[in-house]
Amino acid sequence: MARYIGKRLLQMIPILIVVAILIFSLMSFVPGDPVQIMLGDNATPEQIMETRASLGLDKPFISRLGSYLADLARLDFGKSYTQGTAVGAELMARFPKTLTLAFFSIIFTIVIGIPIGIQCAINANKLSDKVWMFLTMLGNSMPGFWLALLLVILFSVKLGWLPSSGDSGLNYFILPVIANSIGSLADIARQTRSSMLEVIRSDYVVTARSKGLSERDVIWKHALPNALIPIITVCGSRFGFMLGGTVIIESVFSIAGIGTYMVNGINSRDYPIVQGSIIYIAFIFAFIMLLTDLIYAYVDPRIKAQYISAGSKSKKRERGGIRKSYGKE
Amino acid sequence: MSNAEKNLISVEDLVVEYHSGGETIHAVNGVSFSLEKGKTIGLVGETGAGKTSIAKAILRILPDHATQAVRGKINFKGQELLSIPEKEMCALRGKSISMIFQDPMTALNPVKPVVEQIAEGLRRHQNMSKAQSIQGAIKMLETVGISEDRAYEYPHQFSGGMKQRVVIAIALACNPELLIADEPTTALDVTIQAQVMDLMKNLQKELGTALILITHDLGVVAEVCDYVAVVYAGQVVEYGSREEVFDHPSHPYTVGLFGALPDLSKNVHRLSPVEGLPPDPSNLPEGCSFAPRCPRALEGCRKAPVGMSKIGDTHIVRCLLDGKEDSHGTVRD
Repeated sequence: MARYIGKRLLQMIPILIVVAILIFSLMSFVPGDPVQIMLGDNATPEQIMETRASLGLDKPFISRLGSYLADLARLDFGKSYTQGTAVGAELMARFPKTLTLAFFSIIFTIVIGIPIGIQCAINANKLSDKVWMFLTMLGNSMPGFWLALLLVILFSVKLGWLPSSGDSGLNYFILPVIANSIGSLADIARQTRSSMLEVIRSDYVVTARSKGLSERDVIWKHALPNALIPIITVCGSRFGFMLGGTVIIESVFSIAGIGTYMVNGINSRDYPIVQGSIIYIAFIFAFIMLLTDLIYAYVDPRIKAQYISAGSKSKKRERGGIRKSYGKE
Repeated sequence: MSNAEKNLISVEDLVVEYHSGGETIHAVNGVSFSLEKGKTIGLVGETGAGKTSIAKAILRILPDHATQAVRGKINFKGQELLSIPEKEMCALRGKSISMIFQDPMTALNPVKPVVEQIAEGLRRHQNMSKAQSIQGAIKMLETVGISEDRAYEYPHQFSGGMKQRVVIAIALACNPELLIADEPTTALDVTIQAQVMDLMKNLQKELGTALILITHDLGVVAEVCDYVAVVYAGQVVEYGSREEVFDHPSHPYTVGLFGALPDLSKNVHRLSPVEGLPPDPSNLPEGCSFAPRCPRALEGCRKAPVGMSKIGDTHIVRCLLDGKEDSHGTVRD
């Protein structure tokens, strides 16, 4: 298993290099001049030339790309044109806020969404199922920012229970987390429902029932673990998106996260910020995908067997490993 | 059959209906039979005759979403299975009554080690601790011929025959009084079939379990069963002891089933299959459901349902001919 993880981590390097080259080229050829935007309309050609030279923008594309990649290799993301601060440091400073928002959002999504989906599957086509499916459709189609504004009006303005903006404490995150989760929550509930419906009718669930297990055990111990794979897939990609920064939620609630940082960078053609953010997002996605693949293996021994047989032939050792961990439970 | 005390289980007028696309599927239409402790009954019939529905109705594990109605009486040791609360039924399932499923490839949970799939039944019914139940499950696996070092493996690491052994081990874990085996050998190689049947017979002898064996393999029936019920279109068309049914098959369908078996002692070029197809269970014929395929159907067969008539000690048949003529068209004494 360690071999598999190592291989996957190494595979991330070429992916990140390709992403870096792509985004660097794209930014260079996109219309709009960062220097022009920085200095405004009244700048003299001399000023423009000077700034251009100081930012290194006067050099040819290939040499700029080369030095950018060389810097990246030393984990140096460059300095922001407009703010003069190091992009890497800024990303690190903003990451905890985005992580807090994403982490609680995905937890909220899972803890609420999966049980709703299970209940719907158990009561498929009954009234409660239909009501929940209607609500999740609503949740899925409702724009996050609109829900965010409604929440602010109710809980901050009318009731005064929760702060409407800022990020200086955990209670500041309650409304953003709810607004951020509703869409994914609805998505997960629907995914859980359909995947559970398929599993609930399978033979091994009938076998479980025929052993005299309670309905709760049948659902939670036999059906759910088999229904998890597609649910994990959706959770993984949702979590990836959330970690990439949720621009709208961050803007509505004035959270200094990565999403707003990137959008500001795009608006001011601040190349290093945009490139740095994109590489960060690519890394996060690759990492989350690896994580989901590892969770697959944990959930389904057949997938684990595939990883191992693709990686090495130490099947015997792995067998012992399963047994040992099993004994501990 | 009338002695209710002696019977471990008696099924009376069992009806199972499914719904599918707005139509009612009449899967089981008034099946009755009973079984004493330690005995074996074979339910024989074609695919789709309703055998599995009978079994699942006894255990009350018919699929909720498709089942429209279950009527009749199923008496198990004085308890009325169709009307007791779900909780009491749960206490019986896997403990007093258990079932071996038809397809071992799909009957096991793919993400649980096999030992755990056996152990959880033990924990549920025998009040065992985790460690005890694992020990018990390993013992059970050894009984069916799977060694301890494979106990912690997952179903995908097992062959079909071994999976079927695990399914049998699950069913037998709590020493049930009644075992329902739904085509336990159909999915297996011929070489393994005999092994599995032997295994079940031995365990039955040891534990004194009554067995309802669902099969379409008359060879297996001849080997294992004390009684035979031939099921056609959700009805028992012939019932009797093994000798009665095998020596004097009396319903034209039973006769047809025997005719479709290869007989090595005779030099026959072609087997004689039962012509035609079973009736559409959503649209059963008015009279005898076998009449459309019956080579000897009378005018009366098509008009009204045919009742059971007694023609031997325990031998009953659902046919207007009352088995008066055997397969060769000659009159029986």
